[in-house]
Amino acid sequence: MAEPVPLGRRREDVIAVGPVRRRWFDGDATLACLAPIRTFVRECTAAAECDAEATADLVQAVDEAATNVIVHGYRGDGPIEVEFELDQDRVAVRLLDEAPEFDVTTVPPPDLSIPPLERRPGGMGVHLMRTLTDDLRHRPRPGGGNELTLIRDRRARGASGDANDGRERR
Amino acid sequence: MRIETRRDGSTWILSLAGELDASNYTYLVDAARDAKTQGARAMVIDLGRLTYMGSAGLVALHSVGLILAGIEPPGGAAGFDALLQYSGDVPGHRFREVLKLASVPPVVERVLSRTGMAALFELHPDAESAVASVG
Repeated sequence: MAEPVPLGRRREDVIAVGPVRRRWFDGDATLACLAPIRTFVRECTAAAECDAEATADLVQAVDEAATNVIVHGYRGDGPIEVEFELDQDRVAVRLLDEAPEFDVTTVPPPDLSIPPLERRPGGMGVHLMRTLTDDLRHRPRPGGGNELTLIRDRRARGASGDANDGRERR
Repeated sequence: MRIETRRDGSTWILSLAGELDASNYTYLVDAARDAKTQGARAMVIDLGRLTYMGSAGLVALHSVGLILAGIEPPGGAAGFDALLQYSGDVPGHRFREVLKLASVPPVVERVLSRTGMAALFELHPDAESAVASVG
């Protein structure tokens, strides 16, 4: 098994390879880090000239993803790294953690046909991540942890109003 | 997030400002519990000054409905345990009659509509009309 690579120590993280590539890292991320992560994403989307809708979608999707890592993955605190990268019109935001491996793309979608009163409001975070992005990809990190990539066009919208039709691609 | 509380008879108006997320959603649950303890029979949540709401806000709003129904939401004030353990069953209780949302901004409306949870609440353009709608 490959040795774990500590977050925040990887050499390639500090190499700028595109017009917009930025990184946010906290070695002991807690729920108090959600606001700074949203601020980071907003600063990145501004630099990448994302439109208002893409910005709102990315901020929310990343916030839900980070919440999942802290609440379900660490159940407390742990290192989180957020990488933002723009390639052409495609934004990719990667969340890296050292939490137990868990592929959020396998979480079944909520049954929206169930009356809201009978539905669990918890668990809507993954549903939002799906519908607010064009693509959602998970892969385990070598040595442990997760890498979740959220992809969203910085401008275009789907005709349905949802960026993602609910299907993830690996 | 800041919460301002005022009352109109037995209806309590909770006005939220700032960002509502998983780090602070229990503040709203606690404020609703306090209001219920002090005699609130209905609540209006004025969301007009919220600049962000994550899915934890849905849990908070649902929890307020539970509290109004006399049901203690799982997890209580014990941080994010509520997100882990939450079960939303409220047999026979109708939120819309006692829990009204006012001045819903686009940042909240998008979460309510995308999750299908908008139907759970009665939405009003402002707090005054929401208060007037309480029977």
